Formats: sequence, C-alpha cells, structure tokens
Amino acid sequence: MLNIALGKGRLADITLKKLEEIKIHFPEYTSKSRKLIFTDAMNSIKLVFVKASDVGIYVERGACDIGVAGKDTIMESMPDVYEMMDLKIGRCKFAVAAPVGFKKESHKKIRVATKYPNVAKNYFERNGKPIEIIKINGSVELAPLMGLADVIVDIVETGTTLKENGLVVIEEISDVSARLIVNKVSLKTKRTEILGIIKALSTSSEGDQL
Amino acid sequence: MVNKRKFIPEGVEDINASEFEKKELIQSKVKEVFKRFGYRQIQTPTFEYYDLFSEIESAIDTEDMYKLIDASGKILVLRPDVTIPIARMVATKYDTIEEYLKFMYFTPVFRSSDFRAGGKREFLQAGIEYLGNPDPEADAEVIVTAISSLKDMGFNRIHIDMGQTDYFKGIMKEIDIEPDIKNSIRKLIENKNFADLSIFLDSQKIEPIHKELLSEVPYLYGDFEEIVLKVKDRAINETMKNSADNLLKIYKIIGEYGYSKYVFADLGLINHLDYYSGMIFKGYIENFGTPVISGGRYDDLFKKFGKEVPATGFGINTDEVFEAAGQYRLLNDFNNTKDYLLLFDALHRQWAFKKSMELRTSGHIVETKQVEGCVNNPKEVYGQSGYKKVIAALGKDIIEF
Repeated sequence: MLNIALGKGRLADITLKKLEEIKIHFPEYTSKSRKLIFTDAMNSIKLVFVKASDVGIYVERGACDIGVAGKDTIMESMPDVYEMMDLKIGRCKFAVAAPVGFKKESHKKIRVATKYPNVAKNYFERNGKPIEIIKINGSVELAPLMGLADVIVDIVETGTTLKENGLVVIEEISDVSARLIVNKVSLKTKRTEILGIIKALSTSSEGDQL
Repeated sequence: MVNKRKFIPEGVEDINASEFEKKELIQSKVKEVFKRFGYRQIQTPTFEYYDLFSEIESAIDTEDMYKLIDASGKILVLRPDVTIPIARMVATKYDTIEEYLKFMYFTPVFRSSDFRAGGKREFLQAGIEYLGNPDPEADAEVIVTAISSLKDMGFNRIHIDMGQTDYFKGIMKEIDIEPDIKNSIRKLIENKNFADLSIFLDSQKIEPIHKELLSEVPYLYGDFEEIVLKVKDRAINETMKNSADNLLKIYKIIGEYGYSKYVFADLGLINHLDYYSGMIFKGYIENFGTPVISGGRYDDLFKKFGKEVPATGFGINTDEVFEAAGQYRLLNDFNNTKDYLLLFDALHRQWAFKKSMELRTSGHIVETKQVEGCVNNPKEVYGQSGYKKVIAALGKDIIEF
C-alpha cells in the first residue's frame, strides 16, 4: 500500500488527472467530496488530503510515502525528504513587492510582512540586509498599505492582485512550481511502486502547465 | 503568566514503569548483541567544554547544543554527541593503541531540535565504535553488528544503504569551485533533487564530463553490485576507483557472513562529509519513516587530537527503534505481572513476612498486604488483581489461588 499526500485545490486536481492518465483511478473521489482519504480501484494506493503546507511533514515522518507540494511550502518548512521531480505545474514566483515609488533608506531595517518567514529571512540574510519579519496569515498585500510593513514577500502568479493594491515587484527571489517529494525510507523499501509512479508522471502529457 | 509547575518542557518526557521496562528490554537485546561482538561499555561525562565540539566539524550544529556557563565563566555543553567525546577520551587516555579498541555506549544525548517534527531534546543513543582497524573487515563487521542488533530485536524487514564518501569527493577534486557551491551541489544530490540539480549545474562553470558525473550520483542507488560496478566503470581518478573497490570488498565480506541480502548501494549518501571518510551507511526498517541507524568510517576525527587512529562505527536511535517495535507489535507479548501477592491478618504477620523473604530469595517478585477484619471469599476480592499467584493467610486456613 502506497500513501500519497496531496493538498486540496488545483494542484490536487491536476495531479489526479495525471494519475488517471496512468490508469490510477479513485472511484469515490469528486472535487466536492468532504472525505479526506480515498483508495484507488486496485486497492493499492491511498490518497490523503492534508493542508498544503502539511504535505512536507506527512512525507518526512513517513505517514505518507510520497506527496505533491509547492516549492513555496518546501522552501518554508524545509522537510527532510527527497525532492525527486518538478511536476512543472502550479508555476509562480517568490518575489519581494513594495508600494509603487518605495525607496529603501540605506540605514534603516526593512519591515517585511509575509506568510513565509523562513523564506524571507534566508533571502535577506543571503543578501546581507537587516530586516524585521512580521508574520501574517493572509492578505499580505494589505500590510504595506496600512503601514504595518515596508515590503512583502509572497508568491506572485500574474501580479494582478499586486497591481490592484498599488504594489510592484521590486526583486524576484526564485521560481516556484509543484514538486513530487518522497520519504527517504520509502524510496528504498517501496522502490518499484514509487519509481513506477514517478516514471509514469514524467512521461504523461505535459500540456497542462498553468 | 501560566504557572509551569505542572508541565514539563517541550521535547522531554516522563517514562512510566511499563514503558521503561519495555525500553529496557529492547536495550538489553542490543547490548547483548554488541557484547557478543566484543564491545565493552564506556561512559563519558554528561557535560563537556563547548570548545571540544565547536572546533570539530561534526554532525551537530553548534546552535543545536545546550550551553551552560560554569562558575569560572567557561562554556560547557550538555553531551550533544557521543563519538567526539569517545575520540577525546581515547586520544588523551590511551597513549598507544596496540590492539583494537571496541567500545559501546548507551547514553542520553541533548540537542535542541525542531518540535514541529516531534523532535526530542533528550534522547537515548546506543552505538559502537571500532577503533584501530583500517581494514574493510572492520567496516563489514560493524554493518553486520548493526543488522544483527535489529534482527535480535525481532525485525526482519531490514534495509541497509551503503555509500562511500570518496566517490563524491573524487569528483569534486577535479572541479575548481567555491566550497559554498560544492555544498549546494552536495545538498541537491543528497535530496535527490534532480530538477534543481541540473539547473544549478548548468549555471556553474563545470566541464560537461564532471557535470554528467555529478548529475548521475542521485541515481546511483539500488542493487549493490550492479551500482558499484557501474560506479567503478565511470571512475576518472584513483580516489573514485578506490572507493568502488573498497565498497566491493566490504560487500563481499558481508556476503561471507550471509547478510548481503540486506545491503543495498546508495552513492548519494553524502551527509556530514567533513566527518565521514570512507564507507558510510544508514539502516532502515520497512514501513518506518525515519532511519534508525547511521554510521560509517571516520578516520580523520582523531587527527584533530593529533593522533592517527582509524575508526568506524554506528549509532542507533533507540527511541525510534522503540516506536518501530510498537508499530510491528514486537512487544505485545511483553508482560510484567508480579509473581506473588501475600495477604495476611494480624495473626499471620510474622509467618507472612518470613514466607515473603523465602520467596524473594528464590527470585520471585512478592508484595505483601495486611488485611483488616475478615474476608469471606478472598479469591473473589483479590483474584483479578494482576498477580500470578495470591497466597491468603487469613483466619484458620492458608489458601493459594
């Protein structure tokens, strides 16, 4: 039995479509279902829906053998797992954004609002800039507008939300996309099953990029 | 302010009696195996100077160590690792090592760790160090000891991954890049991050042949001989070739012990490269998500103490093994009922105490209890009390049930 952890939402839907392509089918699953665990028709794979940011910990501790997680949550929580494949879906960017016309004063600490404190800390530390992190759980764009922070660090897809709130990207941190992560023990002890899924996912159609 | 009087800090735990007994049972099995391979137990102090650990590149981050300041202002740390203190002890207390030294330890270690992953700050570590023997025989014996200890605890589905640090170091010798970049490459390989590894290698000035060798490393795992022969074939210098030969030698010996079916190759095992210098291995139990054993050869460690002592060994995280044993229901038959309950009234007091001492002398676990008044049917009242036998010396008769 192989356990797969998925975060509910668009990533999960695309992953499931890819699994369907390789004939792994979950008869009971519909995107509206409130169930959290589904078993495939062959009864050899269990699908577990967890919060997107928890996929890493489920896989690290071996509760699930493999998982699909955004690079953003991987960079934030740094789980000890094999990160074996770029699924090339759910693409976006980590960026620093600030109100239009923002100018950094050279001696002052920048106040950074973010849902990703570790990503922000590592990025600014690498660049040797002193910052103060303000951890926010949602609507990060608000923070600079209300004077809570100078800039934000967040994932940016199209930039529409930023633009509508008068913010612009001032620095790009890194590319983000969905990754297939694998528990370090499972890869060794359930090798054939896991490599089967990886191989199938990498050869199935790649025309569904977002 | 919440009163902390009734709580304990995160990452430490109380162990109740039956849990302790089970843990002790597991430990005693491991200890028995180590003993049979000729290891003798030693112990190093609970705290030592911070300098001992901070000046040696090791498996533990100095940030994760618990520091204390002693009365004279010196910085001490709670034992964050066992191998380094053993190396210190051997380097300073043993002037000449004529024979091999084989040490085992069972001791708590302290590290501030990530609570998110259920991390513990105090955990029991067991392990062995085989000092003074540079031959593949020693490495093979250490791995066989690791497999035996897991087998003796009752695990059958064991998986050992073996690698060799010199293969990766051999590739890196050919490439002239900053240590920082080398470390990034190492991390990407260790996490089998194929996608980011190829992007990162493309962004660096590295010859195509070396790029190809590096991007191949994460794939080098699985069937031992197949992988290692392939590795030997690819070697472009002596260091790499020797690493493959060394692995094949060790594997052959493990095969002579009859244990090669448990052993697989993973050349991507390249953690703590400043510490390990040769064979490196990890032990897994199937369906248990974290490695339970990790070890390897660390000949360079003693050089930090000005000595030349070849060394190899491993550590077992006994807390994780205990979890795994629970998952595999290995301890279900374990039962810790007491042998005798001796019930007596005022009349039989002296008889009962004397009897209890006789039973204890012959090795039984005995508890005594004085009963006030008369009990009409002691069997009914005390029959289900969890003792193997109850002796009731009440009233006229002495009955056993």
